[in-house]
Amino acid sequence: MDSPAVIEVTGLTKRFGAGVLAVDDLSFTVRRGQVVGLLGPNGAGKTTTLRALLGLIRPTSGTMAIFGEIVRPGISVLSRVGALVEGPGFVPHLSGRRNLELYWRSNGRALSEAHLEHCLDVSGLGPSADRKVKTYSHGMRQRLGYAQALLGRPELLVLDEPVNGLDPRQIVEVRESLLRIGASGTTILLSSHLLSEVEQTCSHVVVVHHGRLMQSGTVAEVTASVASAYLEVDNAGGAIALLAALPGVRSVEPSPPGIVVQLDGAKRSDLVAALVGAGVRVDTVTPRRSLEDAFLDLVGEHSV
Amino acid sequence: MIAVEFAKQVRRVRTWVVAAICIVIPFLIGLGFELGGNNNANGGNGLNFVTHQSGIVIGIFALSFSSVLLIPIVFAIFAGEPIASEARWGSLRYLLVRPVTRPRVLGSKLGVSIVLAVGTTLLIPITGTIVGIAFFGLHPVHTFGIGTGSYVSGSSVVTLPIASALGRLLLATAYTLFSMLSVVGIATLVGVATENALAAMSSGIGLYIVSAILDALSGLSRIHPLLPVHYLEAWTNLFVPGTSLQGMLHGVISAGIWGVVPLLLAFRVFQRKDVLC
Repeated sequence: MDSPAVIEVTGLTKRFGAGVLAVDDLSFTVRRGQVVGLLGPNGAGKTTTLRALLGLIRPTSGTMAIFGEIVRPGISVLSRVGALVEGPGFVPHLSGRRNLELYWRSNGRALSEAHLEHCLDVSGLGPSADRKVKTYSHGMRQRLGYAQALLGRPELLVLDEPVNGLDPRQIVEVRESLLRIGASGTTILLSSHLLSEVEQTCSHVVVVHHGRLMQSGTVAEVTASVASAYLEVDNAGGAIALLAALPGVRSVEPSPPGIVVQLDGAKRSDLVAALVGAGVRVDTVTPRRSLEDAFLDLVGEHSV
Repeated sequence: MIAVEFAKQVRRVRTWVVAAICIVIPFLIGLGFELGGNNNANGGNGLNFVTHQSGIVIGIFALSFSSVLLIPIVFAIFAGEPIASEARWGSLRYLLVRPVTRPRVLGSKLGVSIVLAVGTTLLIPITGTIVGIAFFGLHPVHTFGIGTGSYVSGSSVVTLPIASALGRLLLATAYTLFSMLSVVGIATLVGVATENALAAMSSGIGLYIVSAILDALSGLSRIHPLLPVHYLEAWTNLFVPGTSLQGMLHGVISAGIWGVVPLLLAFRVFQRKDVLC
């Protein structure tokens, strides 16, 4: 049985002014305990979706609900949400610690509920937490922003590009922290243009491109749904010409030492039969299942 | 929420610079009269006293010299900045992803701005009076009254006892600060709409400058009562016994309208705004 929906986005559309359609009829559901990656290239509408979800912008049409409550600015269920939206933002003339204290207190909740020291530990800022934020590097602000989102152990985390601007070691630390938090039952929706990050952190993925939903499901489902094959043959040039003409094949590209075939109805066995029938010797046939391929295929980069 | 906003603003260098200016200027005015040596007691804005030899007169002059430019600037700075600086820091979105309604966010920020602006500008007449007392002592104020009633006909010397003079200075200060509601209204509206502190501050002051120019053009006398600066100096009649205080009543109404209308608009704009910063 499915766990209850924490986030329900239905037909979300956002047009800025008369022009750009940033999000176009986007629908998806995030259920309790899932760690969902909102994946798409820059400009796909990820940040706009998260902003709308948090009540920062008014959707042109569509509805969104968090914990069953329809999203409007300042709704009460936001007390159960920790957020990092399009980079951190702090009062520059106060220390990192003071910023988190004031942020928490302006919710009207006791400082003892915030688990402030724990969150500062996660940020890894150490003694720098007592320095003014204006002296921080971009990475330090980002980690403080992540720590701010964790204040009060929220049931839902909404994180926009959480590892943006971090160095590789810090990325690993944040990823491990996210895995720990996800394993403890917290629901997480994070956006990323980094496929590897989503693949390593998330249980589910929602792929968006040009503001539209391309696909959603578990990471395994999305990668498996994209039919493609990697072949190594003795005559790559001949095989490319032959396979490109087959029905049910979308594209064929060399990928030395083999070739990559994007399928659109044809089966891998059809490819082998056609190649063998034409006298091409097939050495290796493997399905390609990395999210990278699935993603590039979904957003149409391969067919360009 | 309000306590948090205070904590953010009070630590700002800007707040302390403004407070320092509001102390230094009346001090300089007092010093000027002390060094001036003669008995000149002309305080601008048509204010004229028999002598400046009372601390209260220096307090009155400090208010008079500041009311045209310094006080509007202070109010424009404090009112225009709060939303704009949060937007610049990127922290506005974090203020709004909490279970707090937008009118409450704007209301707390506006309330704290007004308290800080009133707090710093109050330093002007207070410092002026204290400096004046230090230089000239605390004495009744001798001024020139006009008209009939309890006073002799025509212009004549009237003595305001210390308590009465201080009471009038207090009322004059309250009136001047209330008149700043129009600056607060415009600066807040522009600050919320543009998220640009400089634009907000300049529109607050710009409103004053433009309407002061229009107010000086006699050809436009029919629209003068509609201008926000028109009644700004009506309080000086408090120190010319026998003159009408009706200007102050009109001033309160004018400032109320010039303040409330843009403030209502500001709340409406903020409520509907797409927060992208």
